[in-house]
Amino acid sequence: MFTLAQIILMTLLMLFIAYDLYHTQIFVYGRAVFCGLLAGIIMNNVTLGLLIGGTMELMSLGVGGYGGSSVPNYNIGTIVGVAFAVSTNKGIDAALAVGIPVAALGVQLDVLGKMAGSFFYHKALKAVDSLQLKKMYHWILLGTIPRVAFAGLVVLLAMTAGATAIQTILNALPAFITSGLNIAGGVLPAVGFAILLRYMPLKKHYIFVILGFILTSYLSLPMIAVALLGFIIAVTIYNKNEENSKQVSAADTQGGDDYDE
Amino acid sequence: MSNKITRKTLNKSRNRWMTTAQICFNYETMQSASVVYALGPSLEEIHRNDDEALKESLKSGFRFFNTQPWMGNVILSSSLAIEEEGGRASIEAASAIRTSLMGPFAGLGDSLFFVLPKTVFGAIAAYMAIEGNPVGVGLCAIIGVVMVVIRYNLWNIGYKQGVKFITSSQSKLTSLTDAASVMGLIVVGALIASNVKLSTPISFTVGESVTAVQDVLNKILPNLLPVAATAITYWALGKKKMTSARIVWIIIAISIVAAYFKIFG
Repeated sequence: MFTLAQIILMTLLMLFIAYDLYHTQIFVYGRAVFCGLLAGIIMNNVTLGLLIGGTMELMSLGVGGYGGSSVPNYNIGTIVGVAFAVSTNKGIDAALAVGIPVAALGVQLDVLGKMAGSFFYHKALKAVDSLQLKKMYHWILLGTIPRVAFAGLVVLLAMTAGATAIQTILNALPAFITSGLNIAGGVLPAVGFAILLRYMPLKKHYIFVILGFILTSYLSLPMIAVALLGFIIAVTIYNKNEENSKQVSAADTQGGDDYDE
Repeated sequence: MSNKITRKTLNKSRNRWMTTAQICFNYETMQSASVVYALGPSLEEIHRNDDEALKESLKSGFRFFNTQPWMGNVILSSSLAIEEEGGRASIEAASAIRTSLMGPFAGLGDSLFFVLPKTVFGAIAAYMAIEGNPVGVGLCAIIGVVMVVIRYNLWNIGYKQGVKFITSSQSKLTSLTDAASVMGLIVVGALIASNVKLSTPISFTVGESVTAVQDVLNKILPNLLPVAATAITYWALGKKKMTSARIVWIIIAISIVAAYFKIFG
């Protein structure tokens, strides 16, 4: 079903993406699309790869592990999804059926990885007492294994052991499951936006959410236009904030003068 | 007595942080081990003649630390500048700088570098990709590389200006965070309308006319169901014991049940 080269390259891609996700953080913008593009190149169907990556990216918008929280990993979802979409010839339906559950499992994977990190942390901390710095650095570096290697392992296992199994499952899947996962694909972006709103000053600035909603829902403005309009408002608010804080500090100085007299 | 950090070692610390930030992440102290890995070479140089001071310094580095990794560049380099200046006596001061700045800087970095641009650029790249166009994701990659240059400079700013910069522009940072989150909220409002998709195929037959429920909903408010789904998710996230992971599974389950009964689709 998969060639050895495909399995190796897809696993390496996953390892690279997982390392970049946590540590180097260079491909932070549109990462799922990036996964889709590269996985598409490896699986020799770039258009399908882009379609799946784009769809997964829309689900992942706003989903971020802020403050050390664990979130679904749509990168694993994309890579595994592209692999099975191409090999089963079932296109995006297969990608969603396999990719969404795998992405959701990414949360448990992340939690496991962070728990395992404690082991390496304590080993490194212990090396400080005897000032064995080389040993300390090595344990810290080894601490990347749980989070990064787990992700690679999922891709490796799914593509080797799971290949025939997933094909059988996909064939046996009743129609309402696939259409249910399609519905879920439409609703899941809400999770990302809800997380974002929880982290943003919604109570103070809720009217701006409504503004954004009107711009798209009623006026059908494209995203770039909305972003630019948002930029204009943001600059205005920044200037107003700065003016206010200057007035406050000016008042403070004046108060200081009074005391001097 | 403290020693100076050579340029080479300082760069080594920066490069280590930029390639291994968050390595060995754990629930107890989060990013602490990666802080030690990055600052280690510089701390070794500062406390070259004092093993006890080095131990003390490394142990303070192993304390809880968690911030937006890019803003970590400013925080870590300014804590190094302080420790270089005051030696062993300033280990606690350097540690306090890290602890007091990680919170506010995480908020600023998340809204400035992650939340807003990730959402905007991600949406653009995604829409282009769905039409088979890889230009958007290429653009994203270029922006990511530009950010690397900015992150390099953040490290130098932190080291050169140290605490002076951070405290003097505190009000500017607050204004900036506030303004950036307004832009973010507008974009999120727009994205809820365009990205969350939910509709119903239910229809009623009254006499001879067939009324689709979706048409009625559209007249009340376009995208009513997506808005409702987002609002419910937002409300649910505020509940105790509710995590984003559980919500994802709940949504998948509800969607499959709804597909079976043809409530949504």
